[in-house]
Amino acid sequence: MAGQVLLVEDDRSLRQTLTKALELGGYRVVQAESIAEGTLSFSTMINRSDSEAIKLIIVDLGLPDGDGASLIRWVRTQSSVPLIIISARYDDNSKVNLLDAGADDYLVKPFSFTELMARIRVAMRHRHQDENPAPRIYRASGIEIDLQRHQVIRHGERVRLTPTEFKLLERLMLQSGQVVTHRQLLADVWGAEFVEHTHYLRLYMAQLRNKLEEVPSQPKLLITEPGIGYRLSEAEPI
Amino acid sequence: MPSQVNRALPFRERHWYGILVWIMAWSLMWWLDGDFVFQNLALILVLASAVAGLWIGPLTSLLINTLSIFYFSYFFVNPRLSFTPALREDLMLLVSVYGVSTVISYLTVRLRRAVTSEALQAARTSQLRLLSEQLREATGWLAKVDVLRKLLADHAGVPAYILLTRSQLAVCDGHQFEFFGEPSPFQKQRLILEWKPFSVDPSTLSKADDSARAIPIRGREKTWGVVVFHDGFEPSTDWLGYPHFRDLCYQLGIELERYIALVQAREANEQVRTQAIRNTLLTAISHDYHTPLSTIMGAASVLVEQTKGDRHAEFAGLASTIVEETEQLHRMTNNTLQMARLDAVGIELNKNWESLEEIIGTVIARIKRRCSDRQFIVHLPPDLPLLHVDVVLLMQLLDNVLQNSLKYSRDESVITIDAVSADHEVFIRLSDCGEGIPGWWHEKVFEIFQRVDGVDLPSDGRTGRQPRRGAGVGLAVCRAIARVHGGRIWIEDNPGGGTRVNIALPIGAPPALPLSASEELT
Repeated sequence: MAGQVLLVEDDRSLRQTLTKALELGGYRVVQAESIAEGTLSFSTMINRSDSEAIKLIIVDLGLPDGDGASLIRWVRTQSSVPLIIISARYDDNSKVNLLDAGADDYLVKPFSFTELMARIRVAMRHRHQDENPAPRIYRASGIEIDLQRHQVIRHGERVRLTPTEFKLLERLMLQSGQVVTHRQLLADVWGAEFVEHTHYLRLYMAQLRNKLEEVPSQPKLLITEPGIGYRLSEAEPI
Repeated sequence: MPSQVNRALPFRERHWYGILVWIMAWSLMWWLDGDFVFQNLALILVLASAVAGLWIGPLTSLLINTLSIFYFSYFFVNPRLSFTPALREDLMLLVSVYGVSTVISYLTVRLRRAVTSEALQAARTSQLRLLSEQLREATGWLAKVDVLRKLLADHAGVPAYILLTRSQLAVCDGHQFEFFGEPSPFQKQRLILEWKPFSVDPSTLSKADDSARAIPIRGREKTWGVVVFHDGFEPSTDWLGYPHFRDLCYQLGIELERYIALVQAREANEQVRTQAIRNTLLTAISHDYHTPLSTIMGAASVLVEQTKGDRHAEFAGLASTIVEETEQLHRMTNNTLQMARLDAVGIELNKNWESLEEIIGTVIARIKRRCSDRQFIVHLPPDLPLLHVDVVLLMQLLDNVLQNSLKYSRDESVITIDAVSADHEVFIRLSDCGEGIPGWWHEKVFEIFQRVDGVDLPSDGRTGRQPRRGAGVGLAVCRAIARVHGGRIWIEDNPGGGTRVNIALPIGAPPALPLSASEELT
């Protein structure tokens, strides 16, 4: 069994469908239809034995007794369990704030089973990384990033990166497969005072794509999450 | 008829009346001569001078007074038939009578003029007030203009013709002008000619030439039209002259302004109300669709996953169809929701400095997730500036345009996207080699609920005639998105066949870069 998932969703049909989907994916599901119920379930199960503990939380942002954000903030004060947000719209700004506040990833309705499973898989993997040392080597789409040796190899040839480019890539690799918000990238690469300067990112990402992507205008590695941030594709299994 | 003007003023200047008074006075003096001494008769002179002053001007009065005193001295004062009086007392009397009658006649003239001007003013004011009431009571602007026209014709004694510009009235049905008073073609030409100087620069009208026969209909802010009278009309110089006509026309100008403002306010209110209802409805419906769509998508995508590589390949196909249709429905819902949002007053955009390359890349990546076999060629110059846009909206714009291109072109054909920056704009061109859109539809497709339906287009070789889907919101949303960004979108024929959609977006002043970037960015 892959573990127990807490699903907080008020719409009954969607909740049941997602439960079925998660069960097919090998998860056990604890359902909750409001923030109150979700909070209760989480606090009673947080201290259970490993097999019963909640390994992941999926929260819809539009809940009857709040917007889900309060639940996320509360959970983050309690534990570092992976959190995935379900948002109704692309232009919903609250999800960026929630990602900055510690949510792991987001999905916009309507999403497919494959997308859901991919997000869960990545979130779970990063959760394990918190416990085990993070990999120092990343491989995908003919690119190899080696943090130890501080080098990037593309099709066997070393790519020359500027220090900022490398730092940017390193930050994305830390959460490969997961979205990293503009704010997080700017704060970690340039410093906290630069969090509003998203145009830095545009220019550096364009340059990184020119160096690493086959077709920079149709990237496979450095994925844009419009209005939110960037995502380095999930590493290929070694 | 209340508008009828009373042209009879008290004591208008009438010289014959004055002369008649004098004739009567002299007759009386001749008749009484002998019965009374001339000293008494001299008082008749004073009386006549005072009464005649009511009808004759000051100079005439002075002249007649002077002549009278000599005449009186010659015929009545002793010695008769001589200009020199015998006694010094008589000379004194003559001088006194002359002085008194001159002063009295002068005062009478002054008094008369004051009374006349007051009566004139009162008559004008009351007429303006009356007209203003009549204009207000008249329903509709046509009736209002007619009230003025009838009044002017009445005063002038000849037909009056009015030209009104329709553009000011917001009633455009192809005609530029509205004519009143059934003018002949010649009169119409005259009206248009007379209108021209007024339409060019209304500010010059403040000192309009009184001798001009065309009278502008002006309000406080704009000029509405012009009045001319039938040939041969000369404006009178009395109180019903040009200035009063101009004041009457001004009343109409003001009333039209008031009326149009009222109508516009009423219409705007109505429009805001219906739009608000429509938007609330659309938002509610679209918003409520999201969750059921997610459920369908979730369920169907599980089916796709579970039947993959299965012996039930047809089930996988059916499940994929559900997924595709759900995505389509989701796109349409999003468009409707966005249309309602963009229509709303005071929409706030979430603008940021964005890279066009990233946006196009993301849109293509999302499309390729659904139709992986479609080919896109993207040509973007490396020095393309960042754009200050709402990325979600711009993506929706590009996605809608590309969806259309995909829908109406063959699977194996290529869609080309290129961009150039020129002056203050970035031009994005999306070209397909599809069926194309007939020229007369190039503008119409951007109107909401318009589709190229029922137009005989060449059929798609692959599937035959494709059913056209969507309610025609997609491109309307595109135009609305371009508009809120201060940009434009238009369609032209692709030189190689098919359609080319052009998008122009303004380039802002991009923010500065860190100093270290100059070494790192190439």
